[in-house]
Amino acid sequence: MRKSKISQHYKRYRGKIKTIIVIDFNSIEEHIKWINNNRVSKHDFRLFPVKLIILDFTLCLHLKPYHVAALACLIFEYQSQGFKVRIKNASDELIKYLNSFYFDKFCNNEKFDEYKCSDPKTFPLWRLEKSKISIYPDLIKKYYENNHFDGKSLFSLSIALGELMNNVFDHSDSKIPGYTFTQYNSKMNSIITCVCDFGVGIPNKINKYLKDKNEERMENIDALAKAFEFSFSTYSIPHNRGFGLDNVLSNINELNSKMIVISNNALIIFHPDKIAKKITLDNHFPGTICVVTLDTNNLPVIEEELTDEILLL
Amino acid sequence: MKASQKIFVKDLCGGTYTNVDGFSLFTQIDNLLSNKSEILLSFTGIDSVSSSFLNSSIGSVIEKYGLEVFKNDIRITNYTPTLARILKKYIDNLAYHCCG
Repeated sequence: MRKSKISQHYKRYRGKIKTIIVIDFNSIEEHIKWINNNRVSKHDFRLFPVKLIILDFTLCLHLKPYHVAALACLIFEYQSQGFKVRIKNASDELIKYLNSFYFDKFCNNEKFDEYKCSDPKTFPLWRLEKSKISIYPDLIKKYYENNHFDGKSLFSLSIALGELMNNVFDHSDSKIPGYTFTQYNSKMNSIITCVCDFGVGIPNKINKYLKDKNEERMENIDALAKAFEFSFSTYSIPHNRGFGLDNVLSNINELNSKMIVISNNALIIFHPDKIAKKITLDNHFPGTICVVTLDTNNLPVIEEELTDEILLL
Repeated sequence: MKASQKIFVKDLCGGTYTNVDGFSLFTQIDNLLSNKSEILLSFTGIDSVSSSFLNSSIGSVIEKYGLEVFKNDIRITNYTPTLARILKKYIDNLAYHCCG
């Protein structure tokens, strides 16, 4: 009864409700343009006075982790300003997929099970909360080890997530939480994990750090590459030493896996052949998005604990 | 002869990914070292650590007490080979970049 009253209420305002067409872009530039054009800061309250957003999935076949995590940040921006969010025109298959990781409940601002999905290849969409960095990396590692990789170790996944999540809190200065989303693709033998925030972006952060030190500004793409240099840090918090992103990269390289990082208008692709491809984009991503694709063919076996006592130096 | 104290890292810290977790370990090590104890760190149940955790724990210990004390008074046990490599690499890198 309550739902139909709400629907009737909003029917009156049909022309004054904004619809966002969600698209599963293959082009990074188009995806970034779409995000920027649909952020809450671009919302025209004169044209669309009702605080309701309709997400129209007519043109959407399948959302990958990098679509989901970025979309979650976008949606949260609206929700943080008091908007309600509704889904429309999603195919049955897409609805089933979205519901499998509680996307519907996320849009409705409802609580949901954060620890397992109906599809064990997917881990629920997680809001990045500082209190949860302690538990999330091991949780997701165990989830995939237990469900799909008996006897194999996914410590590379937990290390990557631990480092990337810490970076969001240490450096992003984001006004809204970031999101992370992970999926196992059994056909491609890969686990794709994505961490996304709408913060200042790595190049902007580095260039501000350089400016404060009266040093010359770098091109954004060079600044993003610099962030991965061992021992380089902007020391956003005193403990930073610049080892984190190098850690992520070392583990990815050991598994012959891949990482894509987009921050501001800089894109770096770290290939399994250890060559980094650097691209300056036409459009600026409003923050940072890291996508790690781990090759599950190369997972190491779970190691036994050794009980002898050793010095570390 | 110094007394040897064992710290079970997983029980003490809860996790091994955050600065807060690392600080818990640093505090315990700091207490023991200031009481002239030798320390045995047990990493049972742990196969991953983040650089933030290491910065706030082992990194802070080395900053306060120096590499010599660390070398002489702290050992590890119940470790996987990969974790031992991660820890050694961290300390070697810290020693090279920070202490010369």
